Amino acid sequence: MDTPINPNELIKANSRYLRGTLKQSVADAATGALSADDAQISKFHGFYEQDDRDQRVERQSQFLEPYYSFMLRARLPGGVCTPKQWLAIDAVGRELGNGTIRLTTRQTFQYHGILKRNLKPLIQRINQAMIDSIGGCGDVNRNVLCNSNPEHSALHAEVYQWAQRISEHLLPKTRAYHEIWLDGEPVAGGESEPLYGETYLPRKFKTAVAVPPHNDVDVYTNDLGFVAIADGEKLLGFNVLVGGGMGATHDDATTFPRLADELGFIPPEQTLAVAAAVVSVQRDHGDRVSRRHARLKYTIERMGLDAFVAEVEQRAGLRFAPSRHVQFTSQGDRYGWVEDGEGRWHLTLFIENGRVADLPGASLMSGLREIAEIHQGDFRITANQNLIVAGVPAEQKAAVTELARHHGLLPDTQSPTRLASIACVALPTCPQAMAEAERYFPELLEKIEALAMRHGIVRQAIVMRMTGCPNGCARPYVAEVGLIGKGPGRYNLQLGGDGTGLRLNRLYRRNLNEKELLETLDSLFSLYVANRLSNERFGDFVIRREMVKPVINPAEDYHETA
Amino acid sequence: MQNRARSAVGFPPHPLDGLQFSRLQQAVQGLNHEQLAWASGYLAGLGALEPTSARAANESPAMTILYATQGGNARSVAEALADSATARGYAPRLIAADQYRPRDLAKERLLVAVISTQGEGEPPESAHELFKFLKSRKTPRLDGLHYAVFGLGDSSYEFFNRAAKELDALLQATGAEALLARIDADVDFQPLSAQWQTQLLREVEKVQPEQSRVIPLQPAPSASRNDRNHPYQAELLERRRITTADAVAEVHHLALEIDAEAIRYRPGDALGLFFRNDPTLVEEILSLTGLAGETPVSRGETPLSLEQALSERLELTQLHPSVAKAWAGVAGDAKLSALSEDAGRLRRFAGERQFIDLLQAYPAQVDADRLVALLHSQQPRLYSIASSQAAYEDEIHLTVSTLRYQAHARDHLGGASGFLTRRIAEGDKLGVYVAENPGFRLPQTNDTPIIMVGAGTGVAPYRAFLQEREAAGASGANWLVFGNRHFHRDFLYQSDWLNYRKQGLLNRISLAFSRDEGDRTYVQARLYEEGAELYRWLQEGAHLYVCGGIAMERAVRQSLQGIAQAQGGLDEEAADEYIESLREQGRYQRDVY
Ligand code: SRM
Ligand SMILES: Cc1cc2nc3c(=O)[nH]c(=O)nc-3n(C[C@H](O)[C@H](O)[C@H](O)COP(=O)(O)OP(=O)(O)OC[C@H]3O[C@@H](n4cnc5c(N)ncnc54)[C@H](O)[C@@H]3O)c2cc1C
Ligand SMILES: Cc1cc2nc3c(=O)[nH]c(=O)nc-3n(C[C@H](O)[C@H](O)[C@H](O)COP(=O)(O)O)c2cc1C
Ligand code: SF4
Repeated sequence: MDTPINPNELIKANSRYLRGTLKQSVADAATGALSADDAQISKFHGFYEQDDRDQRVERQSQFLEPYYSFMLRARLPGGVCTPKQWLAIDAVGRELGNGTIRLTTRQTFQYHGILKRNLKPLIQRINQAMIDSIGGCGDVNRNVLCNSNPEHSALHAEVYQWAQRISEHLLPKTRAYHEIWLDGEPVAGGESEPLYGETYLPRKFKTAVAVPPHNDVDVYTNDLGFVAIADGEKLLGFNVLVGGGMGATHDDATTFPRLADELGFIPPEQTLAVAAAVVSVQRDHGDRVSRRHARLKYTIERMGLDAFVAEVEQRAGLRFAPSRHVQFTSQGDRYGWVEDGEGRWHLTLFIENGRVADLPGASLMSGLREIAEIHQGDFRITANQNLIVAGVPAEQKAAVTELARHHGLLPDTQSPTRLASIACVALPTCPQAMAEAERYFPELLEKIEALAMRHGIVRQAIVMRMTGCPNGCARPYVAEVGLIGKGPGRYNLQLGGDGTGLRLNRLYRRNLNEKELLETLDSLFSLYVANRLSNERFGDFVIRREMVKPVINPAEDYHETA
Repeated sequence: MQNRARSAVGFPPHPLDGLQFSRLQQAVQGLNHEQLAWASGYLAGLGALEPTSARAANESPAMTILYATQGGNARSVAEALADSATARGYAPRLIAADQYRPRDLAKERLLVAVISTQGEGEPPESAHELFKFLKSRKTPRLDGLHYAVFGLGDSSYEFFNRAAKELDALLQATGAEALLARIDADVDFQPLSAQWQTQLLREVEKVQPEQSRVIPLQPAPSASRNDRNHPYQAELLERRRITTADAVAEVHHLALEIDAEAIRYRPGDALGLFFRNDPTLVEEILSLTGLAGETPVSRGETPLSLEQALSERLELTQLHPSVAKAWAGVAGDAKLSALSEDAGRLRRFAGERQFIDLLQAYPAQVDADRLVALLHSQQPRLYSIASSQAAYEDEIHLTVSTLRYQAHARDHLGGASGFLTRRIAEGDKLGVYVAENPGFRLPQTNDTPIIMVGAGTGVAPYRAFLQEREAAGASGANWLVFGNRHFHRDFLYQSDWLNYRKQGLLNRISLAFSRDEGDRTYVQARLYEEGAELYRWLQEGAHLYVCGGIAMERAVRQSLQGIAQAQGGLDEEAADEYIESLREQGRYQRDVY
């Protein structure tokens, strides 16, 4: 091949199974950063180098390097952790991070603002709590999502175990992590990565497990998806999905969000074999020249679905049965208390944009800590950046409710749209951000709520998602209203999601500032109110009225505008 | 030095240092062909009368004026004397202490020494050899030598003029005869120096009546010299704070514009500068004394208004013990008078006050003239130069920390640092002069490794060092050891150091940020940790530099002691000798303040 392979591939190949020169980089006291190569390798260990973009310019004039710090993302399959673990997570966040915890759209948590010298202590502390960050980021399988709907706890328990097993099965085997951070014995050599090989995957890889009718994990946006087929509380198997993904680049038609294709149905025991097979096909056929086109979705577009399926069946040594019929009815969380089959109760709390912090008026961090101190069940982080207090005995409901209310964790005062919406992190930590998201979305929502109020639709949920760039970390392309950062204070407006994560939206207006955005929504809302069918969702309305054309095949038609 | 003379002004190597050279240039400026020819003959004549230690050693100069300086004051006094002596037809030999071969003492007939006191009562680095020689057993008898000592000191220090006193005693001990009594000048040394000159030259007449006279020479036009008495008006090009807003220390980077023809400086030199006092402070003094700002007063030659005098001529922020004492007289306050009888207590008392505190605590009626007479004239402040002319021909960079402190129920702001970091604006001018620092120089040879130890603003000269070494393509290894409070807030010039490291110019960086880690680590501790490496460098001929506060310097010397013992297997005494020998070889140089 005459086209040069991507530099990242060399970095991986030379890293001696992800060791690189991380030890030296961390020991170098003259800079808060890592060497450029180590900054790539570090991702496989679960952390990213970042710098406070608010301070960049000023520090440059002060002869100071950027204010470097690190973001660490834990591996937490299905987002489940115990109260004891939460107390550790909380303490570490206060002592070694920037004092906040960030629940993510992939059901785990992140610390921001970790100073280099605190990396090792922090990683050791979370590992003492039996939580690691291996493959939290990097070109490997990421945190495995699992439906967190608590109503069917028996089924959930079984499905959740599969999520855990997939996560373990697809974990890198290198000892680098233990060696560097946990003072594990250096490996004598002869190390290998049976599944990944020494260059790992061409790109990140994401897996989710869904339990219909809830699509809270947006299973179709993952590289690999498992849709649980159950008979009541009994798991029969999974419909397997491949080739979903959100990330795109503004105005680059060769990149696009894509919903996963169905491969077919498998019994539970074939789950790991299929997962490994899909990963290995992507390993061998994925694009190692252009990272922009390296995700599985592009591999499948290139190979063609049939060839891909054949390859997977051959490697997994099985044949897919026809997919079973399923129906999804929602992609948001189900808030408040619900009781499961065994008489235990579950409370879904509202954590706006997943940011757990103590702020004037909302002491979320203290609140969750106090709940964790009395709670005996477990916690579940949802793919909508919320937290479920799961498995509460009836007699403790009151106490938990009281704490939650006192610390502003209850959803009841929020509008349905706010409860259905999410935003990514963006500024100041995200190096990719072109516009604000987490820091700005709440105040924008207030203005949108005011609009909805005037149009009399404030009691109705519209799934709105904002990201600071087109990478799509809040999965905005499956929202009824997607706001994609384009530049400071400017967003692309996307319309047409179906509220269940089964339909991509489409670009409706480019580069709007707040005023233009609100005016546009204002007129859309009045049209909607005037012409909607009875309980027709906003996303469905704009499609029916052909305000935006539905996306049939994103590879061809995604970049056509309305 | 020759390297630099070349790099400074595209001239063949010559034995003059930067200042001497530009002075010579200025002196002959505008002379026509004929005049130049005459001048060259004249200079040759002078040369004949002034044998250097190199040639005609048996012949000896009528008068040797030797100076030992840190900040250039002693030098300026010596130069003034040399000028008037020359004007009277003497052929004095003006020489810096570190250029002087102590053994030549035996050949001297008349030695005039101008020496300041540094550190805690120590002679300036440049006089180290001389003192060592005079203290050693091999000192010859110097009967028949006439000498005079002019000391520069500051009575707000505990060991006032100790270096001068010591030198006086040492010469005395050799049997040499004092031509006139030693002068222990205080901060206000200018007037004394003038009197002393005339007195001295009168005495010289007596001991050396028939004097090999040469044609009288007009002293070099003073205006053409930039020294403490003739500051150069430099413009502030740029100022920016280089510690973050949440840093305790407020450190600023300043860039001044200079005329590269008029001003030459070398890495290691400091910049002396004058400043205007804080207008609000002047205001307060006026209102507390109830005096009108426009009241005419006289200070020096030109008459000026009281306000002018207070803001431009007088020392307000460094309260000198003698001023406190004088004020005790004015205020007629019993307690204050009692206190000012005890030198130690007076010094401490003055040390933590500004004149304004005195006025507030001990109010008194005083008229403008008395006030002006009672206050000292402003002392210029020194700042290590943080740039090299090899990189910035016509700029001087400074690294200034704002001195702020709370005392006696008011905020106190340092006079100069306050002026530099808070009051002047870009585009303003200020009077400056280069204070040469021969005791703090890069190695002559470019391939010699150097270790640069600095805490806080003590890192400033090393920026100059590395700029110079970069420009010279010097191959010697460079090691920076820096200490301050916080990595994120006070890592002065971090991006410069990182760039130099990337380039491969800066080979090693060791850091001590005292407030980041729980246990407070300072440079001396870091040095000790890396003692093996340090000792290895020294064994390979590295030069060691230390710049910053006096306390830090002492601590560093301590750990150096320890390192020499631990790494070199020396006992305490041998370790001292080791450090001593480093000093003698100019491989252990210090710049402390
Ligand atoms: C924290 C999180 C957003 C949130 O608000 O929760 C997040 C944050 C970041 N994502 Fe993401 N992504 C997050 C979920 C997603 C999702 C949603 C999902 O996976 O369900 C997507 C879209 C799905 C997909 O992958 O296609 C997503 C697509 C991206 C991309 C685009 C990938 C692509 O194929 O183009 C990037 C950029 C890249 O990988 O080059 C990215 C990169 C980033 C980085 C690490 C920026 C960077 O490259 O340095 C962001 C760190 C910001 C910060 O300061 O924390 N993130 N990112 C989510 C963490 C998930 C987790 O715990 O693992
Ligand atoms: C060779 C040399 C190089 C130098 N290089 C630098 C440099 O690079 N950068 C730099 O910032 N400085 C440097 N200095 C120090 C600088 O010259 C000044 O001394 C310093 O800036 C303070 O001067 P000032 O006029 O601002 O304060 P001043 O007006 O002189 O006030 C200082 C006086 O305030 C009093 N005082 C100080 N602190 C307290 C306190 N906490 N409580 C009570 N009283 C107090 C003391 O009496 C002290 O003498 C250097 C000094 C020397 C000799
Ligand atoms: C760091 C430092 C230490 C000093 N220590 C003393 C001292 O111990 N005793 C003293 O009389 N003067 C001391 N002085 C005052 C100087 O001797 C005085 O400023 C003198 O004018 C400096 O002359 P120079 O510029 O020729 O070195 C000290 C000055 C400095 C900067
Ligand atoms: S979507 Fe873009 S801006 Fe938002 S977190 Fe992801 S990468 Fe950063």
